[in-house]
Amino acid sequence: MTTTGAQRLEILNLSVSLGGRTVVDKLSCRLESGSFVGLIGPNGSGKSTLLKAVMGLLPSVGEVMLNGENFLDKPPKERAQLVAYLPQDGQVVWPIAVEDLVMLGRAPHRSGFAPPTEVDRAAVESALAAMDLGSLRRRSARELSGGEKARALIARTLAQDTAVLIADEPTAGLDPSHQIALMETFCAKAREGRTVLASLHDLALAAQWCDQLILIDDGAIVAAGNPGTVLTADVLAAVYGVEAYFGESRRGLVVAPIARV
Amino acid sequence: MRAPISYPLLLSLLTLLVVVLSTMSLLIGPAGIGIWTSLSALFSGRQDVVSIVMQEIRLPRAILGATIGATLGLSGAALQGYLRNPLAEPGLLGISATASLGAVIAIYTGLSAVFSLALPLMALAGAVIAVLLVRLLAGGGAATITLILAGVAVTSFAGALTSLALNLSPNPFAALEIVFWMLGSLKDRSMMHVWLSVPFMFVGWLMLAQVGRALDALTLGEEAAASLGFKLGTVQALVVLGTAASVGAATAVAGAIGFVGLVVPHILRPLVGSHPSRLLAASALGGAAVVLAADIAVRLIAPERDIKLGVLTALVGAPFFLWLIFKTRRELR
Repeated sequence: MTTTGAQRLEILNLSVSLGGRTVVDKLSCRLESGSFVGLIGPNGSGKSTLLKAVMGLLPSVGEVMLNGENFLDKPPKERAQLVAYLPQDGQVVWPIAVEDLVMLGRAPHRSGFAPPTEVDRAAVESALAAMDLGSLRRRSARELSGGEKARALIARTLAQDTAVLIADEPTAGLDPSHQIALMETFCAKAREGRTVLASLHDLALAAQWCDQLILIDDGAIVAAGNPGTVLTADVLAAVYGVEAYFGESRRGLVVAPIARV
Repeated sequence: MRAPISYPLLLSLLTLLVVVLSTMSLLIGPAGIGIWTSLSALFSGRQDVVSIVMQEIRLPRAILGATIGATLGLSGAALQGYLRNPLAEPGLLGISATASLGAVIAIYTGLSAVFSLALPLMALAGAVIAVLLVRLLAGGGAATITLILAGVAVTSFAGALTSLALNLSPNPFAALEIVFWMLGSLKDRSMMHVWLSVPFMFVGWLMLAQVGRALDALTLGEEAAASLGFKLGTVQALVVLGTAASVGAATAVAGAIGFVGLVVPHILRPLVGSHPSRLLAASALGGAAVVLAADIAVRLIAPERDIKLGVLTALVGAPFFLWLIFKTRRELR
C-alpha cells in the first residue's frame, strides 16, 4: 500500500460561483481521517459542485487543506496520488476491457511509457475483487449493465489507492446487495485510516453506514455530525420538505421518507 | 474488449507491411527498371539516368507516401481520442483547409510559377494561421466542443476564400491547376519537398506521441481525466499543435488526402482493444501503409491518366466507411 498515513481533509471558507450565481457559499468543514462521511442535501443544493471544487475541477475561492498542506496548490499528478474522485456522469467512451478500465486508476502512480508494475497489478486485482468484478474483467465496459458499469468505475477509484476517496453519488444504479457491498467497502477503507466522502441521496444508507453526515442546502451547511443528530424530523421537513419514518435496526438508525409536507 | 492479437505482434506486422509497400513504391514506375538495378542505383553515387530516377523521383515519393500516411493516421487517432469522437479526422481543426487556401493563393497569384517552394511555404503559413485562429477562438480552455466549433468556423471560412479564388481566377488554366492541386497527389515531388515537410511532421509526431496516457484517461470523461492528474490544457495544446505541424506540412506538399485519417483508426481500433494510446502507433503505421498502397495503385491502375491520390483514397474510403457504419449499426442493435 502506498497510502501515506492518516490524512485530515479541511475545507476552509470555500465558495464557488457558476455563471454569476453563488453555488457554494463560504463553506467550512473538517473530515477526520479514518471516517466515512456522507454528504447529503436536496437536488441543486451544491453537493456535486462542492466535491468538484474540492478536487480543483472548478475555480473556487477559499482553501482545501490536506493534512495541513494546501491541496489545490499541489501539482495535478501529486493531487491524484492523494485523492481519488468518482464523477457522477459515469462516462466510458471506448469499449475497453473492465480490467483495463480499472488500470486507468493507476495512471497517477505510473510514469511515462512504463508497463504496469506488480503494485499496479495487485491494486487492480484487489479493486476488482472488492467490486465483485472477477467474472466481468475481460468484458467490454460498454457492454455492461448500468450497475455493472457503476461498479467498474468505482473499482477504478479504489485501484487509485489514495488516502482520500471522493465519490459523487456512487450508489446510483446499484441494486440493494451491491449498495450494501459498496457501503461495506467504503467503511473498510475508512477503517484502514482513509477518508471517504460520498454524496448520497439515499438517507437510509447514509444513516446506517456513515460515521458523519454533512447536510447542505443552498451551498451552505445546515447540519453536520452523527447521523442521529443530523437526521431529525425538523431538519428533514425544513430542508427536504418531507416527513420521515424513524426506526431502529440491527445496524442503527433507520430513516425512510414517507410523505411530502 | 480484449485485443484479438498481441500489441507487439500487431506493430511488427504493420511495420513489415510498411517496409514491403515502401520497397514496392520504389520499384514501380513508368521507367520499368529491374529490381536489383533500381535498388542498387538508390545508393550509387553515379549520375546516370537510373540513379536520378531512383534518387530524385521515386525515393521522395516513397518517403512522402510513408510520412504523410503516418501523419494522417496518427493525427486522426489522436484527434478521435482527444475529442472522444470516432468521426473526428485531421481536417476537423481547419488545418487542411487553411493549408490548402495558402497553396491556392500561391497558385492564384502566380507566386508558385515564379518560385516553386512558394506553394508549400504558403500552405505551411496557412496552417500556422489556422492553429492561431483556432486556439484564439477556443480560448485555450480545455472544453472540446469550442475547439470543434472553432475548427468548423475556420474550415468554412477557408473554404469560402478558396471558392473565391476559383471564382476570380484569371484564366481557366489557373482554376484547373488549383482544382488539380486540391485533389491531392505525390507525383513529381522532389527531395526539396521532403526536406521542407518531414521535419515539421516529425515535430508534430513527437507532440502527439506524448498524449497517449492522457487519451486513455479521457475515456472516462474530462473530469475523471483531470482528477487522475492530467493537465487537459497541456493535452489540448499538444494535440492541436502536433496536428497543425504534421498535417499542415503533409497538406503543404501533397494537398488534401481524405479519409485516411478517419478510416485507418476505425479499422485498427478493435485490434488494439480500443486503447486510445495503443491506437496512436498502430494508426501511424496503418496510415503509412494505406497511403503507400494507394499511391502504388494510382500508378498501376492508369499509369498514363494521372489519377490523383486524394481521389482514390476518397473513392475507396467512402464506401468502406459506409460499410463500417452499417457494421457498427448492427452491433449496436
